Amino acid sequence: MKKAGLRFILFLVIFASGSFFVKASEPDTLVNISSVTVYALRTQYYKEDKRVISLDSSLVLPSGDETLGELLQRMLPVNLMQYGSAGSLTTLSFRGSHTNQTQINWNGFPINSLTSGIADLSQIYSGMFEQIMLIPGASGSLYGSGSAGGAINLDNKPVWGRGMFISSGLDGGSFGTYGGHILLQAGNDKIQSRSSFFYQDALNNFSYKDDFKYGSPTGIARHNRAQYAGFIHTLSARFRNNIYLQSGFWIQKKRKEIPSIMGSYSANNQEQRDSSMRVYMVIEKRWRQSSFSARGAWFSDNMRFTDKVSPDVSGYTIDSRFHTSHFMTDIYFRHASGKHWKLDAGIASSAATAKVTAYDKNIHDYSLDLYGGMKYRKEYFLASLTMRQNFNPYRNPLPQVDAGIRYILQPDRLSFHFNYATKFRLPTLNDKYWTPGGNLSLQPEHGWGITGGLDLHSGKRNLAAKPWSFRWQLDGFSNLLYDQIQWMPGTGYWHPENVEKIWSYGLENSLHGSWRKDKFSASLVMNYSYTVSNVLENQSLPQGHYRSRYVPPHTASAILRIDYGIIYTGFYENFTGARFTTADNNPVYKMNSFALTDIIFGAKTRTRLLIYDLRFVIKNITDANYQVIRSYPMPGRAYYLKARITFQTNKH
Amino acid sequence: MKRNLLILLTFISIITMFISCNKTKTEPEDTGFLYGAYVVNEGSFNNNNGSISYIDLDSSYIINNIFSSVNRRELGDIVQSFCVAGDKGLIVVNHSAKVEVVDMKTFVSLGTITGCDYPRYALGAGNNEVFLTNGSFAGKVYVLDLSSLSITDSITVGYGPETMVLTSDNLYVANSGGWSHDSTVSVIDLITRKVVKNIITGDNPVDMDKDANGDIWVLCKGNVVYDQNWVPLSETDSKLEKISTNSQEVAKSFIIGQKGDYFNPIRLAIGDHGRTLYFVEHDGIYNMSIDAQDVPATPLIPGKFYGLDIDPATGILYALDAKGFSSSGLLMRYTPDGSLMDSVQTGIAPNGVYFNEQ
Repeated sequence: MKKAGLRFILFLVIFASGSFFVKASEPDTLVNISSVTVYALRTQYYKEDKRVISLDSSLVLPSGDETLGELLQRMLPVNLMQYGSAGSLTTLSFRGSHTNQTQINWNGFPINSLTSGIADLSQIYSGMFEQIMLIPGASGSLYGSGSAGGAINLDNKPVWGRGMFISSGLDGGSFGTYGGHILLQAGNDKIQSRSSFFYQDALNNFSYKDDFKYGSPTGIARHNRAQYAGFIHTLSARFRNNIYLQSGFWIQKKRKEIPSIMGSYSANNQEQRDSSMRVYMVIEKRWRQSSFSARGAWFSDNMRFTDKVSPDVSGYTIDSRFHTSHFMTDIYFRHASGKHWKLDAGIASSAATAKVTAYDKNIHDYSLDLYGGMKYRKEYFLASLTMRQNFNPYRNPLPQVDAGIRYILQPDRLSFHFNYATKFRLPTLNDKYWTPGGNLSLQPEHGWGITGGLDLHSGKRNLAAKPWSFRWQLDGFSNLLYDQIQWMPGTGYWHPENVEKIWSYGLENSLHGSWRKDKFSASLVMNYSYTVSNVLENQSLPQGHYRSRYVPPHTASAILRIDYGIIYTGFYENFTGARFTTADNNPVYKMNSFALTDIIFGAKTRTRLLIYDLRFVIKNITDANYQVIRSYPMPGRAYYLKARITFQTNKH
Repeated sequence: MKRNLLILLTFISIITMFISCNKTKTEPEDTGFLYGAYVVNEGSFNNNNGSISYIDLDSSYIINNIFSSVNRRELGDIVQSFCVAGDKGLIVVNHSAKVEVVDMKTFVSLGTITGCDYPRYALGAGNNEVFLTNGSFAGKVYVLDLSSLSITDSITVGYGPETMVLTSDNLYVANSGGWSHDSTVSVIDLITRKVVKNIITGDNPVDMDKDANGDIWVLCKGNVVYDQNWVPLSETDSKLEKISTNSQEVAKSFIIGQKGDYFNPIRLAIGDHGRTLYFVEHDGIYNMSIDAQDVPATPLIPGKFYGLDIDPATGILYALDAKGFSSSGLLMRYTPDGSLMDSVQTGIAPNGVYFNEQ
């Protein structure tokens, strides 16, 4: 605790400001591709008045073989809820919100579980996507239900040009970990195909100090194996008549043994198997002043949770199965009116079916969203306004609004942005249909948030001539969320109710600098977030204000990457502050802060067609003994060796 | 010189005598935590934050988290029950699958008994031995030896054994069904350590108490019937039954609660020196005489309660509210006629109170 605290103070003293590293945002959201201009997703089109964190590929690498959870923990001061080592359920909360208020989208379609509302980051491999964006405080107007905390966009984008790219990697390391991946991309200016396959297997049999047991013995994590295999294929095509097509296919399976928690003398025989199949298709047509797109997706998710009395018996004491199927469509029209105005409108639908052992029947659930918006841009000033109304068979949320401005104070250097947005989250299928307890009378969660900030950078002009660059961002936010749904004990069984009101506010601060000379280059990224999340009302607590559970007021991260010729090294530091674990903030159960340090050494060399990359990774080099969630042990120091060979021709 | 030395020695002797006498007369024996009431706080699931709260019955002062305060470590996950056997206390920690043994004077941990996978309740048997019920399905009563802190014997009983009652010859074990179904109370002969009878009761007997006549009252929570998808289809009646210890048969049976409310009562307590029964239903705490012919229609104390026990010396009711299971619970004390006396915060999810009085 002391060490972690000292490192954190040192961190703050040295770097008076830190920040999320953010790739310089594009001046507009049009993605130019030689002969045809394709509009980006609507959520990107309206991003300029908001805080957007785009993972910079130069810093993400070498981490394409990490899950999104592992990647985010190493690189950003985000609040991850990780229920144990690799492969365990990992969720993310933004700005003091609940984890089921983070929406995760794959090419614009939410992949959150329809039953629980959460998305498991341990089932998402970061190397499967070309672009990963985090949007803290995403609006209900742009994202729909379930983004009150924020959103993560995982996008596959084609890189046009004739050529071929094949990358293959193998890795292995501590705790019986090994894995591999293959990326294959091929195409020309008209059509592009991209496939990626990932496999990972880890026994996770690490040792840890068990302070919950008499004498604090060293325990070994058993029954903790995680296996994952996933495949994504996207196909993009563009035609002379300004028509663009894209389709995607994602299939994955995961098996995770669930170990005993700390302090337990009993073996755990629980296991969870997840599998998903996701398909989407997009068609876009552009005219001189307008564009039209029709998008559709079908996601099928399965989960099976089992428990046994002992590993030797064949029967299960629990065999719980979830199957959901989700069909989504979105029809969207955009029009440029004159020089400064752009208008858009659309209609989105969602149809879900669920077959879950805990529901008393097969469920069919529907909703419809109407939305529209406008954007005004003149010289240094930009303003946008969007609206949405969701209709569903139960209780409709309030109309959603997102309004914001961006003003460039100093061209190419300093800008200011401000945004106001309302948010909502519809009750999940579990909330509505779980038997017993499901409550069809629940109100949608609702609220609003404001965010504003400054963005200062060294300028984009003559970038190639400058040996250095920097970017500093500072944002403040305040969110008020009402009618938060919580499962409460009742007479005989638990049931969900709208019980909680949460007010969160804070600061997000980031600094990104880089310096380059001849063979030498260095990048430094520092982030610091201050978050206060207060539970203003909760009927199970005595009157008063309480801090939300598992929301640390202080989180920080720092990354230093140095390249010299073919050699590179990276230093990653992540700090998570102390946090309460009980609703009434009992100090006895407050968890200590912890700091994690990872180091990477590598060498990368290339011939005309091949790139060889070999790297050695040490995770948690200080062997910190920590828990992210109380009672779930985390691994100590671990070593990994990763090798990658890449073949590429022409433009790739 | 000699005279002075004699005076000094005499003076020291007198002073020493005075101090010794004073000490003997004014300082009572320090019993530490040996006597009092002990609130069992389950804690929230998978959080290792179960605890024991100690109440000094003379001053009514409560100390929460005594185990972790004394031993500098948390007690474990889902503290199910507590009992005192001689000068030792046994804390049964269900999900951690262990029994923590403490010195009752100091509450210092003496060690951990492991080897059980689903421990529920412990009961002192004398001779440094303790009975422990264990099992979520097929159940056992383990015999624990407090000298070696180990399991020395086991007796197979029904499914999901929970509370026990000791008579001069027998140990009665309520087989609650655990995660399945049972409707028996096992009778174990204390000498042979074998089950001599399984008394058929209502569905899923879970809590028991001995009355003033030496008979045993059993609270049967009823059985919920699920379909193949674990959706509850129906439930059987919850019952309060009297087992005659002479005939070892059910001598009285009352249906309590409402079928279809899916509330399964699990807390029974006895007061008025074994003459009045108290049980928790979905709408509050009910009371009835052991001689009553009917179950009362309305609760003595309306409300929602998670636990209930009665101080055998005073008859004061200790009713427990677990709140949301993620924050401190509440202990409310009521007079035997149902008037609220006071209330105090406890640990997380309190489920019962154990009394050990001089």
